[in-house]
Amino acid sequence: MLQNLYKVIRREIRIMHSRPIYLLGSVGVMLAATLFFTTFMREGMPQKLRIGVVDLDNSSTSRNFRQQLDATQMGTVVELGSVSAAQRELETGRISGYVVVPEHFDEEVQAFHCPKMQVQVNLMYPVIGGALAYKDILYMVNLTNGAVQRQVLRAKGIPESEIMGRLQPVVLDAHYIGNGPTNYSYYLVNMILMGILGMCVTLVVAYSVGSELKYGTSRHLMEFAGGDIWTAIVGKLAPYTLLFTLIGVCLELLLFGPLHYPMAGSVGWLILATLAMVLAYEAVAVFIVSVLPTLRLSVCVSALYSVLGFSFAGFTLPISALPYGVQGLSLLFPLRFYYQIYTREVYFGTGFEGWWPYLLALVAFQLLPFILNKRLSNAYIYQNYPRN
Amino acid sequence: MSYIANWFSETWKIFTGELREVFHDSGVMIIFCFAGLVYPPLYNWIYSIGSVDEMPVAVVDLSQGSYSRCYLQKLDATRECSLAYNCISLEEARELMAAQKVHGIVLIPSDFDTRIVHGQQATVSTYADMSTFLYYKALTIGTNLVMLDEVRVIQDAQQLEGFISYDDTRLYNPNISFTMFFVYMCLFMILQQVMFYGSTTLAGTLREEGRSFARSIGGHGVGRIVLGRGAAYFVIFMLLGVYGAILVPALFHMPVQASFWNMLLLLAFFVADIIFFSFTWSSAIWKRETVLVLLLFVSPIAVFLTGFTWPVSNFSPFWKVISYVFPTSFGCRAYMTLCNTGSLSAIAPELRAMTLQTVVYYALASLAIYAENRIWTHLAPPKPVN
Repeated sequence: MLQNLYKVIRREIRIMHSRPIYLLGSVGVMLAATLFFTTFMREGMPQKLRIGVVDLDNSSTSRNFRQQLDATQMGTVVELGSVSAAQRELETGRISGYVVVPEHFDEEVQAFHCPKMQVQVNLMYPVIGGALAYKDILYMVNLTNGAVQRQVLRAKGIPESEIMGRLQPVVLDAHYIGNGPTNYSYYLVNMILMGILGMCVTLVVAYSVGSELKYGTSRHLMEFAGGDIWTAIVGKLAPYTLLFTLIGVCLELLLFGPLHYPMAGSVGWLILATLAMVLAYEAVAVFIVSVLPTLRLSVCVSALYSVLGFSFAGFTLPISALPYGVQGLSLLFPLRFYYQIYTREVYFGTGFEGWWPYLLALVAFQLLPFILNKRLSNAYIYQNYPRN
Repeated sequence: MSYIANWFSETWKIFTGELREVFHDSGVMIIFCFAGLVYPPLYNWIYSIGSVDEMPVAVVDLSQGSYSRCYLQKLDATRECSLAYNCISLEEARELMAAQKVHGIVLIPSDFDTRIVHGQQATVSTYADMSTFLYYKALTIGTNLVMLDEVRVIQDAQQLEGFISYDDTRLYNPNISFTMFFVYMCLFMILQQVMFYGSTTLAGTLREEGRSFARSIGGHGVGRIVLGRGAAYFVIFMLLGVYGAILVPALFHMPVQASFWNMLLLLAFFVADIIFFSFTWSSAIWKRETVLVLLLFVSPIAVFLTGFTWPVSNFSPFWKVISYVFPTSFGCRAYMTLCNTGSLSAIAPELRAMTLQTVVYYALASLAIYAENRIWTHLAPPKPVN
């Protein structure tokens, strides 16, 4: 039995060696994806967004406002001649927002007439840019307002120690747990790369298990395995389990090591979760090939399935914000359970007791291959399905 | 005259032949039907709510005064937050958050009311669960809105006037909901990816079986092949496009300002672009299953390269150039802008870019067929790359 297993493993390593698709589909894909996602949002937060200013006043106060806005880390000012020009730039996404300084702005401020600035932001495209530009503009408007108010309070003889209490009686002291700098890539990069890893596992394993049928080598495999489907499958998958877990570990060491992603718990637990996730995706892939023992169909279905994982993991849109009808579908994706473990370990460091039910759920995916193992076994022995 | 007639009859043959291949290939039909027909309504459905409302928040009120109570009541009344737990200590609230029962904590210190009454600055501490952007957003907006309101109430009582105020208009997506920006992007992305994976799978099959479309010609007739095959996909994808990008959003009541004919025009530009884009890149695929195994990961990358979250102005020069490879980098933006504004002149730059892309990809696709034909006829067929 063990000898057969060893023979199957050696056979699989030979196959991996002889065809580039296995290494390209795992190591190659993950390298390319990691390169993209770790460099694409390198800044963490978009800096120097283009914010339009339509200055209809051209006074020293409005000029000052413009310069201050330009000097913020987040914004860079684009001067626009008219409101209609600004509106066009905004609609087409070339600026993230704009603010109009009305005519006679300065005079009205001096006369305490409370002039109104107009702020427009595009919260559709690009969404992060719009939200940040909005925050930046409002911050500057409030600061300008505060400066005027402060002058008035000083003139009234209010002591310096009380001025802030008058200007801003309530302030917020915001803490961001697990992502202090509100870095956009901390939200996304780790989970997207893990999602792509899950995708690779599903596709490569479905391809590997299915291609025995396409190329008619499954009987040869069953001979090596002594006619036992479990020896065949476990032996075939062992090298991939090792390979994909190693990739996952390297990824986590890279993110939490040199790239300094925040981590409240331990990377060791996360590695355990990664192993469980890899095994769960392998089980799904074996199940898909058992249902559709034809390579072309099983690879197509694996692709359609794994793409949906990103939406159902809950890291972009929480599952509670999904319509009730589709919430249950999230249970079909190992990435969902990995994310539950990931959140608790990385953000709160709860340790094993905080997330063990989700680990159990990942382990439960191992039941999937048992449902149809007879069907796969027959397909391997009789090769009675169309090869293409 | 006979040349023209001949040209048309051959193109027609290639056109019908390609359609036959598509409809006889179960793998391609799964991709076209499932991804092309099921994904658009599915994604619309998944993202139909698209925002976190009434997010459970734990509060630790150490002040227990009238100002603090008022602050918390107003917070509970916001669309974003709902007070789920009253905790005695921050520690207790943190445990609730670690168990993911709440996604935000609001701590009001014991001196809160005293400070306000004495005209000093008082602080409210907030702790946001950063595991998704939307939790952070809900807590930030909720607590800030109430803070601004409190400030106004207190300043009114002190008869301190604001000197500069603002009118803000948050265009198109005031609640920063996922539905709006994600679904629009997604619908065009689906079209491109379905076209790419579907047609390359088919091209891979034909080459694997030695019946590549490039084999039958004798050095000329490249145009007939590219245009004949292109026409077949054009018919399929205009239908899928009208369904996915016009009909489905209407069924889900997505706000679309554009007229049907303007949308159709944009679709025609985009579909032509994705067809030649797919033809060009499919020339590297010589086996049917390889494309999905090796290139499916390009989908999430293409999604980010549309600039729908991270602004294009903040792309590094390298990734900006890479984004020009994909029709969606222009198509998704054009689609979103057209849906919002309804005016063709607003998307003129994107239409120009897509036209240029189409021309370049048409030339490359023709060249690739010519080269493949030379390989088939003059050399031994290349060993399939697996």
